[in-house]
Amino acid sequence: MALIEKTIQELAPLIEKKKISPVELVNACLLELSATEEKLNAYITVLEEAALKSALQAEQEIMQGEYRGVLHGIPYSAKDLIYTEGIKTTGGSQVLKDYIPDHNAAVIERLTRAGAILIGKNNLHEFAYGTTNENEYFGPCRNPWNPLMIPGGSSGGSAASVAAGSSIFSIGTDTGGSIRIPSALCGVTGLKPTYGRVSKYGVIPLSWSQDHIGPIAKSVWDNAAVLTAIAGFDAKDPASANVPSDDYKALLCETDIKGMKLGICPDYYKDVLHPEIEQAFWQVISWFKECGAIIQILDYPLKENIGFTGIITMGEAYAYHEQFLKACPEKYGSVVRRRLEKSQYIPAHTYVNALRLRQQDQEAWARIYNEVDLVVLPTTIVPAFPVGTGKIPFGGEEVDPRIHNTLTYLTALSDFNGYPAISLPCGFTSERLPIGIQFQGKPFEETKLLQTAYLYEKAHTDKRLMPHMADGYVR
Amino acid sequence: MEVTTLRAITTQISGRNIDDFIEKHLPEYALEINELLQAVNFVSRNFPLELSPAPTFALKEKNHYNNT
Repeated sequence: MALIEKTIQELAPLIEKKKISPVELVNACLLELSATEEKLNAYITVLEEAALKSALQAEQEIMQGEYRGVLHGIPYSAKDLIYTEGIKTTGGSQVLKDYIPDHNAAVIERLTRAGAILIGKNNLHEFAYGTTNENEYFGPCRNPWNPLMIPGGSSGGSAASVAAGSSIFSIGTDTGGSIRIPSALCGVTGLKPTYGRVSKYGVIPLSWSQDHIGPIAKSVWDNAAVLTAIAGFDAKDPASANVPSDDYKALLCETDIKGMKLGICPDYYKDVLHPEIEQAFWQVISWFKECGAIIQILDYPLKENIGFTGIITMGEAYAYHEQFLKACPEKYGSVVRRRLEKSQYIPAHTYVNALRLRQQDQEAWARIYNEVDLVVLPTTIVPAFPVGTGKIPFGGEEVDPRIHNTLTYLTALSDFNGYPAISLPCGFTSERLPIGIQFQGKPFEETKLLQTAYLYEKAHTDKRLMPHMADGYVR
Repeated sequence: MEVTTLRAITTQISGRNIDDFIEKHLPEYALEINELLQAVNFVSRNFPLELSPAPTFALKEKNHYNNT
């Protein structure tokens, strides 16, 4: 198995035992990046020189017995929404195309302390306000499983780079599903932690009260390892929760599916699921039943509530972008500008009513979680579709996926209530496009979420592949 | 909302200039905003009076939800 195909779980012991060098690993990722980037466009900035310098330093530290832990010497990438000191941070927009922050985001600081090596900044949907990653200034990012297809977004470059093997993990953000959607469409695993679990300090906001930071990686164990490094209170982020965090990777095996209560909400996605996604979903549920889980059908969430998360995003996004929209509106891509401009017409009382619904929603979920341990959902209602698609089916109608909440339909609910959720691969369509399954857990109980996902993953290793193992890989 | 209302909000409340991009999209915005507001009004008319907004930055404690 090539180095870039390995997980952090497989690479870390090799690095610790000095069987491979971080320099060797960074070089392997850079080689893959140069081989795939022309077709994928997963990066806005590549940090070849700096990454190799950091790798050399990591190698020296490890040779001197100063091994810092499982992320030491592991190359990663970060969505270009995340501040990096002295390195361009564009937000995926012409508006900030030359912006160089003078400090790192908290998440970058923590990863640097853990010894991880930043290899590049990933392409994204402009300012994270969209799910197709059709970036009008930097160009569309494409799906490694089929470069004609979108990777999903907004953290599309992050998921595409991990799927292609040009980074071992990536850091994304999730306001309506932007970690989980591209993870599902690119066949990798992405975690949106509980709101407040990971500091947002130094991350360009889309919606302050719904933004989350989290990892995208090849496996559940890798997500657990990255979360362990980045979780924790940060006084610089007013939303940061002062809640103890765990060594999540160390706790992965300590659970049993037998007797576990899983909630499903078929009424919510009835008539909108792609048939092959629906089939894959019920196969997952059957597996859990066979393992002794108890499946409970929920009559929540309610379809009529779906637009409320968008109202909160609209109000908060316009507040952030107002000055840029006044100063240089022409620098925005047309689709994102259209969405932002519309946001100025949301009345204050409508925004407040959306927050009132969120209160009601959080109370409803709290009651549900008195009865179930986790909720299981498909991650998306459709698989990846071609770049440039203007109409896709949604129930009985056709909608524009660049504007309509088609791709966030099953993910935004966890940004609205703030609960943790993970997406991992659960199969493929007949066109060899990945399908994702999603687990949502109780607030600050990422351990249970990761444990369950880990057990599912261990029993379904055939679902976790890299695209170059498939026909039609981009290289 | 009417296009004229949106035009007035743009200039008088948002303090923006109407350029070709905004002008071109105003009829779409009017339609979409109307649909959105109707959807919110439909749900919020059943809110109990005592329902307060969720805090913008919620989850400070692990048991915040479990105690509800």
